Amino acid sequence: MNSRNNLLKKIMETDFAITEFHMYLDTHPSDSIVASKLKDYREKCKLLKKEYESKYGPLSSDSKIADQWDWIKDPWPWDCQCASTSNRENAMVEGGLF
Amino acid sequence: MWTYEKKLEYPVHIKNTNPKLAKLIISQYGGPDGELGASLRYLSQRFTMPYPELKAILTDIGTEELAHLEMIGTIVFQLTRNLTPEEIKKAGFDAYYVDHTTGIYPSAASGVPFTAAALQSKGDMLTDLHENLAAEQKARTTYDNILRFCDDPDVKDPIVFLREREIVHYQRFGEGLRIATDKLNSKNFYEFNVEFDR
Repeated sequence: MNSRNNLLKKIMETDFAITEFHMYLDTHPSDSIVASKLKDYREKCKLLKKEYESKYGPLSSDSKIADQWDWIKDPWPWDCQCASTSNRENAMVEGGLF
Repeated sequence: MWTYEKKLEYPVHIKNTNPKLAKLIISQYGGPDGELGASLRYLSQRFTMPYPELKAILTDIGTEELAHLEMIGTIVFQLTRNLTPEEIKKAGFDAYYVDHTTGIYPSAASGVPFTAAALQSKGDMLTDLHENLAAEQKARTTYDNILRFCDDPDVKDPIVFLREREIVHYQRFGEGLRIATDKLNSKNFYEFNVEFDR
């Protein structure tokens, strides 16, 4: 779970930078330095997402889905992936759901 | 058109439940200055907005607000996992529980259900941009107020992130307003309504 979370965190960081550049460019459309940064981060993010998806399944609805319908697999973004306190969740962790 | 990505904008991993805090944070899900209202406000104002920079900024910010709505829903969900009836009663979560169990429902901290009455799409560029600047500040105040009740770093961290985004959006709307007024008659910005009197 840790290496998966670390990779996902990297993707989140990169995507966040993309969100920021994108929004900044809306009101600074002629800033070519930021525009080229946006391009670099998009390339970087594409590679990270490719790596993540090949290991852990699809991130977006238009990702390539392997032989099974991996899209439905847990975890979903709101699922808690921290050390859990309840017996019910421990059972789920042991059962491989988290 | 939108596409979904199976991730949050910023991580939320809350170890300890806290229904008392969830009752307050739900306000940013469906309260008067919450993320749902923010998203609807901007995505609705887009249609009659005249200039390309403004159409883009409303689209991008309105979309990011949906990601914030998902983060708030996640925070409330994780704060209310596996509660016992005793915990629910002790935290004062019982009133919410009676109506929604631990389902995530868009309402204010006061219990008032989500209402579009707290947002405006006025069909006047200057009015709407000022509405949006005010909305970002109102949301920032709400996050400041929430932070006064947060001592769990797992909750504080994503709330601080969301608070910061309000400030960035305020900045972008301010730039949008400048771009807009630069295109108007500097002697009388109100000479006509660019969204109506074309």
